[in-house]
Amino acid sequence: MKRFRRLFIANRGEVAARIARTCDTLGITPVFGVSEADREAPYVRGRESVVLGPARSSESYLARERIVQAAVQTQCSVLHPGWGFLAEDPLFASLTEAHGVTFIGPPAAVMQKLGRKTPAKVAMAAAGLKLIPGSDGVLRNVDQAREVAGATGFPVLLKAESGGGGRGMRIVRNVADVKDAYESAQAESVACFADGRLYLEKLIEGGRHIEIQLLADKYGHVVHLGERDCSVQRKHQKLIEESPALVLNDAEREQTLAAAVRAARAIGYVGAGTMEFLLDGDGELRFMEMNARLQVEHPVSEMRTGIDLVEAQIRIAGGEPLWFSQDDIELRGHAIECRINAEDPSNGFAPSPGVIERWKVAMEGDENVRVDTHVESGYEVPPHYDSLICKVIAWGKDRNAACDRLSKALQSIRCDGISTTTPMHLAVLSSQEFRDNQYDTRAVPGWES
Amino acid sequence: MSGDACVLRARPVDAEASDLLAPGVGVFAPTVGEGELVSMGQSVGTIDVLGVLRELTVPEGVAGRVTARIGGGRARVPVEYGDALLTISTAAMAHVAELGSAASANAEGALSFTAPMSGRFYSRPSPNEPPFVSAGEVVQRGQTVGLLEVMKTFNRLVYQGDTLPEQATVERIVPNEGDDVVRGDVILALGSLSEK
Repeated sequence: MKRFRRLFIANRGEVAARIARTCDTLGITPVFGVSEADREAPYVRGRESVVLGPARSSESYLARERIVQAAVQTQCSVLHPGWGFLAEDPLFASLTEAHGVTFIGPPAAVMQKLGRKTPAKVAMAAAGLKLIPGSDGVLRNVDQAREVAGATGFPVLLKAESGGGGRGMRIVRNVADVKDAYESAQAESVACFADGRLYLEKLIEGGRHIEIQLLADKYGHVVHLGERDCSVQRKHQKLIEESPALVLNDAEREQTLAAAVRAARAIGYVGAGTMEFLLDGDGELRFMEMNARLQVEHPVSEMRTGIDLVEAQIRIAGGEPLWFSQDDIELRGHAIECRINAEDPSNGFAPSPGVIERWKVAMEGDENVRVDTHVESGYEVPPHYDSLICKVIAWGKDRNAACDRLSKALQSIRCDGISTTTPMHLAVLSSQEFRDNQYDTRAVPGWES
Repeated sequence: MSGDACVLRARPVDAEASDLLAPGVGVFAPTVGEGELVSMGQSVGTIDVLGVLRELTVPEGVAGRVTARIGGGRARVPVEYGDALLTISTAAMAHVAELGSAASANAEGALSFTAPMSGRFYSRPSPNEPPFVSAGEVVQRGQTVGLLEVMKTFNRLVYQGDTLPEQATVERIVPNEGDDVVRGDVILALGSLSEK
């Protein structure tokens, strides 16, 4: 088993601060790779850091060689990629390992497989997870697309095999539109991903987004840390996440959790990972994709289980077998998180970078409230990166108690200088639709945008 | 393995000095030291990024004496993006114009570097510093090989010229320190590299 003494953080902002916190508790020295825009950021003050390059991500947080060289020359034996940037880049994972630095995440080959749609789905179906009905892998041509669409039932969604971010994707509502949609999706997919292969799925409108948190060691032991409901979304961006997902019936939950564990074991998954599902109108969970990394919303599961997922990632990467079993994991009460972004919700969520003149979360000391942030008074939110500035997580014995506590915590936030999404969160938390759990991913409950 | 050459970025420190900045993260191995004169296009060392070495060269518009080098006298220095690798003082050179193209190959094919004008020759930047070049060394295009004092101003003698090869070996420095030379006098007797 390896004992790491120095860990390289190949990320920025909130997740960088989060990883460093666990390093501190484990007695590991974190070394931050930063861009020029972040070199003076409060979370690296008094810490070791290496300037990777200019603010532009392609020359800093996405520059594989620079990052690995920085980890090597600062004598780090392990690297945490955080989320976003290069966290799910198999090339980066193998480059890191090739230079003798342990990469925190699954093996590059597993990551590669999960990055492409069809192989991932085949593996998941084999392990007993339900898929969204559609084509059996990649479509051969328009004729086959028409045939499969007819058999599946309209509306359907044509998607790029190598796609992401909504590119190369077309909704088709009747058979006459298949040809045009197929051709334009293919053209876009070739242009964006240099891969014109398409597949087809039934379009599930107004579902709920449910995901399962998994943890696997290098020896085939896999456990789950329960599910999360992340259905409050705007343009596919999650805003609020909670656990448990009360919209799920117990039989479906138990069955899917067990199948997810089997599937993760079957593909040889290692580390923390998340399987994402769509809950359809019949109450069934259908597998969408697996994220081979730590997720932004991981604190929700940490609050319910008391397990530090970053610590687990580091210990697993060092070769430690899982030190608890599924039976040891107790899922307690209800936890809910909201993401506070530097955006103006009353102005179409326009980005709001700038200097935070005053920052305070008065409820930070409450043991059932957790504030994950990298900002403080005087911090300048740079215009180069994403807008997440803070996450507030609350725990309660049930959903209402957790929501009430979160509302109180949000009201205690003082943030002068920039606009944030806090007012939207307060409106959602107090809305009837959200409290009744009657909403879906298409619209933010309690907020007209 | 070696990658492409990389022209360094310069950042003015004040009116008379510039820093040459590291282009990224890596291990810098300098080939010039404090007191040496550098000019545009000249290599000042390499940067090692994951085992790939890239040559680092002086950018356009920068010429002068190295007054500071990162890592003191260390041969290999881990650097981060934007670190000042070298500080170049242009003050020392403010009144030092560049002179070159004063070379010829004589009838027998022996190469020489000749004085572009008349003046007083110095082989070193200042009396207590090492000479720019000494016998046996290889000079390359763009390298400073001496100073020529003409009418109380110092001019840099730069190895360049159409008839000279990219690189050559210094066989002998002909004038003594402080000798008066006239235009056309041989300053360096050179040997071609290919003969060796």
